[in-house]
Amino acid sequence: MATLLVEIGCEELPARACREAEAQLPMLVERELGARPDRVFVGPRRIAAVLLDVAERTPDEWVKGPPEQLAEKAAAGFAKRHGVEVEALVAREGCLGFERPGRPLAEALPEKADAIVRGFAFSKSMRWDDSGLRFSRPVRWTLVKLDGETVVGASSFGHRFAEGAVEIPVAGEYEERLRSARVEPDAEERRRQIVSGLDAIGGWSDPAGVLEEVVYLVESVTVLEGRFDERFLQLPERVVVTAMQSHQRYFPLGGNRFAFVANGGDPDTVRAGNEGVLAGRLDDASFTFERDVASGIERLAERLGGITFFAGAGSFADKSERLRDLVAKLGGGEASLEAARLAKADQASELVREFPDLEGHIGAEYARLAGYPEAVCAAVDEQYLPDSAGGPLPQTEAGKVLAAADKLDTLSVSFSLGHRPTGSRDPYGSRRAAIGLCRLALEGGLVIPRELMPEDVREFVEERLEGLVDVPVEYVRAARASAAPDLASVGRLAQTLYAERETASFGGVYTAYERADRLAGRAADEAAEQLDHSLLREDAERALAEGLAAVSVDGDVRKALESGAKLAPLVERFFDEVLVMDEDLAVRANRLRLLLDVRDTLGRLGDFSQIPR
Amino acid sequence: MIRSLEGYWAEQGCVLMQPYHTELAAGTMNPATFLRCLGPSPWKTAYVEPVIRPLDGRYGENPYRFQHYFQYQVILKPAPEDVLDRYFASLEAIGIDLQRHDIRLVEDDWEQATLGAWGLGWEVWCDGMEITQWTYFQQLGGFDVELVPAEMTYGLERLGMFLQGKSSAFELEWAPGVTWGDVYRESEREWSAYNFELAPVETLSRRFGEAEEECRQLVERRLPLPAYDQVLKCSHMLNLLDARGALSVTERAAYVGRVRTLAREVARLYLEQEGDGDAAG
Repeated sequence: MATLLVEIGCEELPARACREAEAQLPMLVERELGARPDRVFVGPRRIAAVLLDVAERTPDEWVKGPPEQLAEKAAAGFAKRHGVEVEALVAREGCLGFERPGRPLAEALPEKADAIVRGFAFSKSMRWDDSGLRFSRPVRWTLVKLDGETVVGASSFGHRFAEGAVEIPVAGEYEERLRSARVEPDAEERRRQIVSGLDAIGGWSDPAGVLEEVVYLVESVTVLEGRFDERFLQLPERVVVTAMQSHQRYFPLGGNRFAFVANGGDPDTVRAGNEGVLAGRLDDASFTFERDVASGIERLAERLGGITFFAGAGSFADKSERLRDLVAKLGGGEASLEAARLAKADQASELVREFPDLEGHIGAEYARLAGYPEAVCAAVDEQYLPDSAGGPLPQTEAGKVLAAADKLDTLSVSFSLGHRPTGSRDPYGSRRAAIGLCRLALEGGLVIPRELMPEDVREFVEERLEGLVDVPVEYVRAARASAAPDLASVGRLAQTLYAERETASFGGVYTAYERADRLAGRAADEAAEQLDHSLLREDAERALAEGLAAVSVDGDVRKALESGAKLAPLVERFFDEVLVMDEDLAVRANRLRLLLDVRDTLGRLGDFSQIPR
Repeated sequence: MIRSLEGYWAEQGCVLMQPYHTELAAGTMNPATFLRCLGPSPWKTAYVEPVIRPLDGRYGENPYRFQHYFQYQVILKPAPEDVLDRYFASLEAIGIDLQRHDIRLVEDDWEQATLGAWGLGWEVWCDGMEITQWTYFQQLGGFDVELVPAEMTYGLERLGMFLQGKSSAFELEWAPGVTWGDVYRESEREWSAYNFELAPVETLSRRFGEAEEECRQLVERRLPLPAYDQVLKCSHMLNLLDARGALSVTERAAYVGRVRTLAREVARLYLEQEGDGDAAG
């Protein structure tokens, strides 16, 4: 048994490509070498695998040829193609073939290493020469060592600037040789070093999650601390954090301090350089910020007429008008109406052009500087929440109302323009908006009337309820067909129906609904327009009509079920004593109408035919 | 600094070109890059390019944003195997000590919609500052490149600020006793006023149409080089219209599409003629 090293040396790979390589390498190695690697090393300049115990010969291999009965026609060609004598072919399981003996692993390794390199599938790849090879970035060397024997390549390479070529005398010494050439090949170890460096400084945060990228941006870890001028603390904090994180991959330490990870260089020089760069970025942001503040949020809001919301949907001024209207319909108070007017003002700001992810937050900051009440500013701040499936909801009432209005408008407008999401494509974020609406209703307790949504939007939004309300989907579907006036009541109704499914009152309503629907549902076109009491002849049908008039299904669902369940014996008696399909067509139509009224009255509690029994 | 770059890349066998004579938003748009990187002929060049980006002007008030600044552009086609080492040596040639500084290659994929062009590469960081945009072209004018070129675009003001330890481009010593600000600040103010407030929208869209038409005619007459100049003019008109805030998002996309169509036509013609040349030779 021997230790095998396969190293692919690259120009600096993007972090995502590193993660893809990490995921694919074990399978590729297994496919080519029949065993998973014991160690996998991935960094910006190398992808490597080490196998501790590989057989020094490849296994014998059965090469399957043509079926025995075709031997006359095909055997000679098959043998020739594989360079064996026809006489050497033997039959196994009905087919001719031969046992190709294994060969020394070292002999097979060049082509196997090549197959591994060619086997990677990156989400973005490139060409760089005429070899036809595609990879995330150019491959510049390959090193394959079987114990002490160099099978492919010559040497590895250490830190790009501090070291040159590195001899790897035996495969098993790969890690330590690289470490002495200032390369930490193990991504997990780099992550540990970065975290412990940050912990040693203390107080670090990483809201944008740049750590996972930084692990693959360096081969050698040095964690450094820097500072910026306190005058930049006048900037909205999120602007400062975004400048640090998304542009520079720094870790905020609070106040005017930050930490970052260098790959080398003289610490003082590197620190000074990075401080200068951040100061430049913040200075630039301050410049933009001060210009916006000099304009003020009112003047920014006035410019919205000139900015398109999206094609066919008017300007942001139009959007603001619609938001105010929706906020009013959602019962929003003074703060949310004012917030709706200012909500999109930051779309006209220069700072949002520089930091598009900070829309809303920047507007809120400008509203604060203009002296608006905190309830207004907070609502502007929270208008895009929740911005992910599990993300936090707005905390303020005005924020909830504005956030719902914004989502209702975006959904209505994009659906009316035909931008429904298809498959994995959802360019207008419709799914996120719909889930957000449901959560604002269910968890946020906001009353979102269903009538505020056009039918296609309502269907789309309420389909999301099926995944959010923790009961079998049939109950949600039943509740969606009910007369529940708002999104949250649909959800609550589904939960109550499910909770009550074993009770007598649920059973009564269910049976009454089902029997009425089964008979009259199919003959609905024959039913009278309206119930005519003078045509009620039998006691049983009069009793049912009276019972029906006494039923109240609006309000508390449990009480409604109890009330509705009173119809069950009356329906049963009706079916026992009354022949619906009377010869007198007017009587028949009237009886059908009575049954439909029973169904539709109970149907305000949901479409019980959705629920299997 | 520019002299060091010129000297270094001349030694590497690059043809030293001069800036192009019409407004370009990037050194990439110079025909010495865009057209020469198409087709099967090797090509090495290096040149300074003044780039004009109307939208980036800040009236000479912001020390980091200008509507006119300088790039140093290097093309090696095909990219040699040690192309990165050659690039790093150019940094040493202008006085950057690679041991003292933290030089990093950070993923940055490049795309220019108006030219139907894209490539993969990096932004090169020196102590966190982006000093070069580094790209392996993959497509130009919608055509796969035959020999993959490496493009290195140095931001000269940034590099100068870094080397001189200045925090503002205006304070950059551009010649002994003369700052960058002395030379260009007033021009930034005036051009920003023109770009944002005064450039005549009607005239610009008319000129765009005229240049588009002229480009088509020149393509018909099989003259790709003059036709390409008209593509550049269209692109500049588009950028001015954009700076004037005259374009909605959809309109802008439509203009970009028109320029891309022209760039593709010119690239196709250029490739055909390159092919003819080879056949004749």
